[in-house]
Amino acid sequence: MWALRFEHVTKQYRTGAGYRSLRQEMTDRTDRPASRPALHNVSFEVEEGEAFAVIGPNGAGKSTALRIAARVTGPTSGCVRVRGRVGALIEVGAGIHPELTGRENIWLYGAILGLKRRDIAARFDAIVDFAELGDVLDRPVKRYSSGMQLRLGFSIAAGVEPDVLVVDEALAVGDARFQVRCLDRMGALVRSGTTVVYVSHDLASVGASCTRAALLVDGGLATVGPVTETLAAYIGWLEQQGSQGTGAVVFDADGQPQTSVASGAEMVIRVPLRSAHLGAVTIALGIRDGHPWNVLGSVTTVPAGSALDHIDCRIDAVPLTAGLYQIWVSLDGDDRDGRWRQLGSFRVTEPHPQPRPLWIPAVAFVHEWRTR
Amino acid sequence: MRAAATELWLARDVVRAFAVRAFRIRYRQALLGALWAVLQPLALLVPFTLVMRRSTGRIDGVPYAASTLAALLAWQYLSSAVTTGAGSLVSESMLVRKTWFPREAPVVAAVLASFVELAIGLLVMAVAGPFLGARLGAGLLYLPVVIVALAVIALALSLPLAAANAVFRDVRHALPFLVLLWLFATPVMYPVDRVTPRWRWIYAVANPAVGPVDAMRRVLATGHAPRFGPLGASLTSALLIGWVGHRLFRRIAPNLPDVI
Repeated sequence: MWALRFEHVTKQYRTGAGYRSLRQEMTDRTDRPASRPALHNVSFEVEEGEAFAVIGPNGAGKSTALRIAARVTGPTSGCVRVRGRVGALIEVGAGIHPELTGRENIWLYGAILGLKRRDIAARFDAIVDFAELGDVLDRPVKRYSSGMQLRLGFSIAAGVEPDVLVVDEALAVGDARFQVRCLDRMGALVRSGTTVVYVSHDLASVGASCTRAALLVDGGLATVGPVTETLAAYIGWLEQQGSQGTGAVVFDADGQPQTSVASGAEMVIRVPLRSAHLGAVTIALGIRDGHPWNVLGSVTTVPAGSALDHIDCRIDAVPLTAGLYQIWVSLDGDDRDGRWRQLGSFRVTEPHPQPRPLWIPAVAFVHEWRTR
Repeated sequence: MRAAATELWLARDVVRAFAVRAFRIRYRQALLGALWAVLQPLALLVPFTLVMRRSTGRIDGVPYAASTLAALLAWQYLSSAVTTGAGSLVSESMLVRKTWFPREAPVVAAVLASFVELAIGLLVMAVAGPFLGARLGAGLLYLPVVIVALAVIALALSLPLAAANAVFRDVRHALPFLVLLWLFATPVMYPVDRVTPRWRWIYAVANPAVGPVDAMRRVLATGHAPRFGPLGASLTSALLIGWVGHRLFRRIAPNLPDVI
């Protein structure tokens, strides 16, 4: 049984976005050139209770698909059907009104999502607890930090127990601990029968949390199916685009840029430093498997006065199981701010990959199971 | 229209939330708060009375000031409801862009929220009316009918204006000016019998504010039943405007987030 169904959905935005004045509208009667539709004849179904991902490069129509699924905007042609109530978190602060207090926002957004007042009252405390807002609850949201707004938005969207929860990559804004709790919460929702539709271009996190996925390219549906197949199709597409060159961060033993390495093989990660710096810089390198923490990590310091374009980290034997991984880097000292940033991603292959359930770390280690 | 009404009914909590908020935000950070709702009609009453009382004389047998205060209350409601109603979609653009709810909800909420001002105005009338020479009578029982008529007219005008304002912000600039013209075109500072009976019903159709403003005078200041001719003509006209306006609204509604 489907929970969300796209039927030949096409969405064409007006060219020259933004609003037009009456004068422009009346004087400019020439036919505006039709732009490429944001979505073109897209059809797919999301099954009830599944974790579904929509992936694709920037501008592929992922967010448009999500907005249409959440009924925020209508399709130009075609039709979207939803069974039940949709909770949507589109961008930070979606559904959050800046002039209202956190408390008022919970009531308003709860009502918008179709909850009765007593249902909101019943869930109110849980929502507040999850958002961890505490004493700022009665302050206007415009005085919140973006992290707090995000926590509030997610807590409401997930806390009203929708039948379909739609989440955009907004989550990336939150701090790591909150991201973990969000993923946790989404997992719990899926287990309790909620359908989750997740949009991201963070492939590793999609691989870690979803069972099926659709790949959108240039507004068209390229693939839909099990998440591993869709991810493989997307990686294939990325490799075809030849997104190599300047951005390459992963190299094999021969110094050739790579997007995937075999488990146990040698690899080199190149961290760009770019500018000549005067002070010492501490470089922290982390590898993540789609969850917001590092499964591998190492730290080194470059002494003051060295002018380096980049620094390489050589890994003799990649100790990771098959899957997608992100490379994160934090540069600290001199004029660097020490924040973690994603540098790139790579795929690890194995001849006989084992399916790895959520929450099992991706580190490969020599071991065996015994019954005695 | 039926589908929209069902949707709105299901989303009545949203309408309520919008209405409560519309009223709270209107007077938030205003020193005098809801006192403004009292001051505005009183402030207009003084110059109108000074200038027009002599030449107009008594209206329907009651002093000019009493009758004009009643008319001003109806006018105040209409202008406030239409102004906030027309701006409601744009002021909710944060939510319109990122969530779905029946798009009529903020407009209906604005029209409902203005009732609070009307209620305060009615209190003022209850206190000041007798001093100004207003008479009580059985006609007061028609007050709910007049109020419903006011709301229908406010909604009928707000819906197309709100949709138009979302697409063309010209509306926002034109509106204060149009509202001022509308005040002069409505029998607020002069009685409706300045228009000859032959033209009166056309007048009431062309300007749907004519019927209820006149009815308000009758009901609040003289205690008589409203004149149903102009009231009916205005209501019919408003329903027609509302029907066309709502169709326009519905055409724009699905793509509001893209244009607002």
